[in-house]
Amino acid sequence: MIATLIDTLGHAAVEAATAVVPVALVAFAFLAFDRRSRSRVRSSVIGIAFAYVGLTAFLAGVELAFLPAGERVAASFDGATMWLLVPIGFLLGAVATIAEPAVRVMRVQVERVSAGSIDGRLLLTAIALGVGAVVATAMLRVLVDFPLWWILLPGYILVFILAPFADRQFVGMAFDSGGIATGPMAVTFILSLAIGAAQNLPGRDPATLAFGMIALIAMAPILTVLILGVIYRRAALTTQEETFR
Amino acid sequence: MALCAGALLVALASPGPEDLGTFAIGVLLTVIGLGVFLEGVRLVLLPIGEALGARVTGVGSLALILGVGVAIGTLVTLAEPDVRILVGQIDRADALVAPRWAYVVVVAGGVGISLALALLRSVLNLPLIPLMLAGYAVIGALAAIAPLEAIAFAFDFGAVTTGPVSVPVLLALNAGVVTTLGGQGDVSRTFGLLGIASIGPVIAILLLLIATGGSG
Repeated sequence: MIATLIDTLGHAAVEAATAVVPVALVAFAFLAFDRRSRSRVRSSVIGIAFAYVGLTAFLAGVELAFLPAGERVAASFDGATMWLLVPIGFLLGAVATIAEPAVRVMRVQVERVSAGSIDGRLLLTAIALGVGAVVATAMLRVLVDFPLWWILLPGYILVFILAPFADRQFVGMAFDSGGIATGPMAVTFILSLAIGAAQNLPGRDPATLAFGMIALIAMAPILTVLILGVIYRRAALTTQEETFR
Repeated sequence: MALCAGALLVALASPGPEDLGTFAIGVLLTVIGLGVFLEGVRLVLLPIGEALGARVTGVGSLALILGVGVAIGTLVTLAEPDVRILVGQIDRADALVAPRWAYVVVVAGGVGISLALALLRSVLNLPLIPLMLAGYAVIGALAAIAPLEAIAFAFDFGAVTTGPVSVPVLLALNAGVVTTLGGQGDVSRTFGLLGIASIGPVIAILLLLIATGGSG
């Protein structure tokens, strides 16, 4: 176990370096040239150190825990019980979304932008259900084997149809919200589950089937926020009409 | 979330105590590591992002804006953990057609270029939707000629680039740009930046996979 630990940490340390060193170089170049930022040198050094240590730990931890866990759990199902992954996927998707801090930030934003007329809890539930549904669909895709674009294309078409009808602020927010649900949990554990499932089922190519899940997870909040944007705009317009009557 | 994964693991895979120990350590490392990492990024990149955003509009040179966009976009994506993890997943699925670093560099470059365009849009106050439609049209065209699984990978990378590192920095950068311009235009200029920025990596990966022609 210790050997695996050290080995993984080693790989993680190298990978983290390739991520942090460029940032560090540019940060220090900027500090060197920009006199106003001199006071920031100390916090920048601390920041770089934190970033490097933190990233190494994170990458190692993911490698040690979540990735194998996903594969192991998927491996414990056989052909007959695999379908359980669909409801499990739904649960995981919903839970992961609720736990995601970025989603909570978005909720505050929406409440502020709509001046309280859109309930943050409603938003959270909607997004969570949306992501859950999407993860379940992605698992279904691994089991049943249908092409990704069957879901992706209609999804994006729907996005572009709805966008002009939604309140303008919601449009921007919607596109920005795509990234919030695709956090580390989704990319590591849930994707691992899908890949593991695909690898365990005969004749399924994980490359084609399991991936694309993240893209779908990214699409769900966009649609949800857009739909809310359409509702909000129509409600606002109706209120205007009533006021002028 | 970790509890869920742990519960599932225990319930279904019946791991030995040694595996469970590794899992526990892994979870600890992941949770603490991510927190520490994000704090570090916040300390370093956020002030730079804002300052750059302000300085860039002051100079008023389009070339500078583009240059800053490319640089920051690339940097921020290089530091994005989820990008690395996704590449690792592709590796685990035995589906790599190029070395791992190639994926990372291509994605980072893609973000850089589209961030530059997004900044340009912000500064010039061009409308959002036509630009996005154009971007997705290009994606659609490329997807039609790309190998089958390329689409899945490309969109996954696109989704992953708007992660915990990129989002705060890009928004800070854009905030710097918008405030320096005297708060012209409406709030929708600040948003949508991420949407445009995530188009770049999709196109970039599609091109990479088309160029390397097919699955591994």
